[in-house]
Amino acid sequence: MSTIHDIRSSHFKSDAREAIANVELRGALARAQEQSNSKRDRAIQRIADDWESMRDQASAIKTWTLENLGEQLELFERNAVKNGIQVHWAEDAENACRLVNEICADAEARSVIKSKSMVTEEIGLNHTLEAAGLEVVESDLGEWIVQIAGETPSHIVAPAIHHTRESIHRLFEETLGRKIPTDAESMTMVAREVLRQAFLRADVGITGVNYLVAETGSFLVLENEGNQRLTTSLPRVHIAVSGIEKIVPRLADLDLFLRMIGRSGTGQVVTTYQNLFCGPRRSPDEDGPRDMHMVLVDNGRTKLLASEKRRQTLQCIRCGACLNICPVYRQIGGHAYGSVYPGPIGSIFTPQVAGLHKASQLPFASSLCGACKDVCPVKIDIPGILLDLREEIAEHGEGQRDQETELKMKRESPAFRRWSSLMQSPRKYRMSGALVRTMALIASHTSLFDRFIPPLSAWRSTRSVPRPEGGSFRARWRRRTEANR
Amino acid sequence: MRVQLFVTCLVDQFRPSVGEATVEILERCGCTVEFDDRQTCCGQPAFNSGHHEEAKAVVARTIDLLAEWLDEGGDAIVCPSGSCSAMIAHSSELLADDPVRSEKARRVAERTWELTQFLIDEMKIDDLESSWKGTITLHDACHGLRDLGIRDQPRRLLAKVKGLEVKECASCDRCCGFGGTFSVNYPLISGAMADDKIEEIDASGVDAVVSGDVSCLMQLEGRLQATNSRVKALHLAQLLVERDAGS
Amino acid sequence: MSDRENILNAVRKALESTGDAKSACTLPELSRPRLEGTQETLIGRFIEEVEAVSGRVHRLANIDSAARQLETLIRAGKTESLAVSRDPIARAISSRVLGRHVVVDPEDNQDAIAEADMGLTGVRLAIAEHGTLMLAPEDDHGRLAALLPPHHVAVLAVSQLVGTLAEAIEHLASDSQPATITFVSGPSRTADIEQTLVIGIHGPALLDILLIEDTQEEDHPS
Repeated sequence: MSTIHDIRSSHFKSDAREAIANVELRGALARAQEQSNSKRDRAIQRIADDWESMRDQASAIKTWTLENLGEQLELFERNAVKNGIQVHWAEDAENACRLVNEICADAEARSVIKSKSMVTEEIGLNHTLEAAGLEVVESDLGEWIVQIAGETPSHIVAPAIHHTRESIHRLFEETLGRKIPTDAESMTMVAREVLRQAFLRADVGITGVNYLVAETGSFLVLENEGNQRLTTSLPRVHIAVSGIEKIVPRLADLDLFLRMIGRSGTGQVVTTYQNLFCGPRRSPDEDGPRDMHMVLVDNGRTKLLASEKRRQTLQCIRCGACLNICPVYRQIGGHAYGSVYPGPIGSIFTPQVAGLHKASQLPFASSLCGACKDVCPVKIDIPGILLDLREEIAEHGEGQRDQETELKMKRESPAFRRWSSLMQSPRKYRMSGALVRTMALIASHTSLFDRFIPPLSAWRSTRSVPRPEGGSFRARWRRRTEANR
Repeated sequence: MRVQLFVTCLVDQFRPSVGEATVEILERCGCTVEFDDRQTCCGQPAFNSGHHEEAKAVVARTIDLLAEWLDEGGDAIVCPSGSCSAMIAHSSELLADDPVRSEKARRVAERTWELTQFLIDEMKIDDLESSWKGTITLHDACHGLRDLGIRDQPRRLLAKVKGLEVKECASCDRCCGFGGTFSVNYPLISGAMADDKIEEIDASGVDAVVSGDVSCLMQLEGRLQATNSRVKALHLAQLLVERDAGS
Repeated sequence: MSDRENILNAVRKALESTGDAKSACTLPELSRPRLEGTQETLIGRFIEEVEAVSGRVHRLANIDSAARQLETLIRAGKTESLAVSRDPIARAISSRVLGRHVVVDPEDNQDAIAEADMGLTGVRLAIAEHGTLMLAPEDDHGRLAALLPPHHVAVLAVSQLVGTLAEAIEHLASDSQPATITFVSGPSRTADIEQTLVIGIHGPALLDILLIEDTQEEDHPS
């Protein structure tokens, strides 16, 4: 059964409340967003004339590929096998973890080094490997920080975005048991030193995948730090884990996606390193892994293919631009979403993959401002899919909602049925309008009645109740027409 | 030009002066303004909350009403809200199960404009001979901005207002946190989103924050009042209608 | 049934249920961007882009001047040991500084390369538009010389420079694919601590590119 590791999205409301109370966190998020967005804007500015047509092309390639997903995956498999890559398929998280574990066992591995990969977070791979007695070390600096803190990443590109320099410093000193300087550069160099030893002792290197190329059976992975190059150069075995949607048909497609993903994600023209893997080492005098494995993971993705609209979710190239622009993410950060995929893309991916009952609040945790859709390099209609999911939860979701959502629907559903009947009758609309105005007028003076009207008390918890002007427009219009007559 | 004012339920019930200002502005531009008092709501509150069946019934009725008026020779439907205009624009998709209605909705959407969009794009008027003494900043309401592409229109209109100084805030296009039922389902997040904007607005020393949507304005006003700010929240129409007013 | 069959069946079933959507969509032709201009324009752009990501380019007339530049870098970096890949130009250059420095052959053990202060390698191609080096370790019989030492010096002939990534990918598609290709744009970097840019986390912290006009080997001065 498809699932997302350690999901706790049903605690969204209380986790978000905690995040909002955390002033340090919100400061870190606001600074990070400001910086990411201005870098992104600058990087795109230079190719502004082409950007929209690039988005169209990228979206069309992804759409076509998903519509031909079966054939493209089989083509990838055939070519990858020819290249000497051992291809494995995993229907769900459990099978994927088992496969990787078996490969490690066959390799008699004791130590595993990993470079940043969201799909391995999704399936909870580290947990499984550690349970089997392996040492697992995350080598991306952000991932390592999160790992030694015992946390999950709070951003799909910048895992430790919720940390400040001070909190990382505390963490490093506690973990390493020695004094270290407080500046970012020195701390980074300490991490280099510690992690270099982990690279040198690792038997297996595990990476994610950015693009599987069907026509060549090769795959591309992006990074900035060089940790992934080390992960795939030093250990005897390289295991890549990929969601089945990460495929593109042609090698030449990489040009377009590479020109977009760096700009969109981190505001870089291109990422520092882009590694294209076409198989294990070819001759004995080379370095590099002797065995290369590819684990193709479904874990619920095929469920999303059945609807043309929702299928777009799988176009995602995990650039993180929607997280960087999202005004909700800005306030609460990634952890409150309770899924390794937070923010706008997570709010559509998580409930569809893990099941509505595990994450039914997430589609509602958005003001539908649409900023995510505007920045998405592959043009995923995130607000449209959020609306689609809201409809499913509100109108067909009985028995598939978490407790919070169930409570909300108990209030909302009858209210909207009444609302609908009022709004279909001008007479009832007029009368209820007068009543609502009177109540609002009273409520703008006193909170005495709030407890009888939960939405009113919710509103007042952070805002005053604006006073209605008095009278309706239609009444004023009628007086005016009568006066003119 | 015969114009139907689609006043929206929020303006009708809470900010009728925005409706009156809209009428006056349209008349100043030479339009004949009509108002069908059978109008109720565009259907968005239910639609955005996932209650699509409940929304459809309301949307269908609104579309029928507006289509009928167009058939009787009406020229343009104008609405002092980007959000409700955008809902009308999306109605055809929502009513896709009913092809006749859906086609009607498409026709209505083609003849529907948000106020500033109508003035600039359709009437080609940017100078309303208004004057307003003071300093303001703009809040771009999300649906107008992203669904309808309204960004320059209000700025061009405000540029012609005598005595007015517009200070742009970097966060002008960031959501105010209203989001319909979102504002009461997640009041803490919603309030924090408003705060985020208000901090910058307050610091900029303006007299008012101006927007094209009453919903955003009630959210911002509610938070401004709760934090004892002196900044007022004003609808664009309320400012543009003035010929001699100060802050 | 195997996971493979289950996944492929699920894909087919889901896509069939949406009916004729497939016919509406075609795979778009790609625009293949090119850089306009002379070789000098390409070189100018390449240098600009490399410098923008904290790398350095040294324009050099021939192998002798490249050797002198290498000497300068070695002295400036107080380099004690140098790992040299098998690339013929890299070998030719390093042979001119041989004897004065410890040279590690990449076929030696990994630990020796890890101890080296500098790695000298060739490249397969370079891309002007992004200031990118395309490394194919197979050409050099190893990927570690460009990776483990903190200072990477890459040797590039002017004739190896192409305009765009699209062109580089076309070259790649026409050749037989090497086991791995690494595109390198600047030294290793991270910004995981409060978005503060730090150069040189896991990969090299310094990237120097010796861009050589004429790589013909002249008579070796003995």
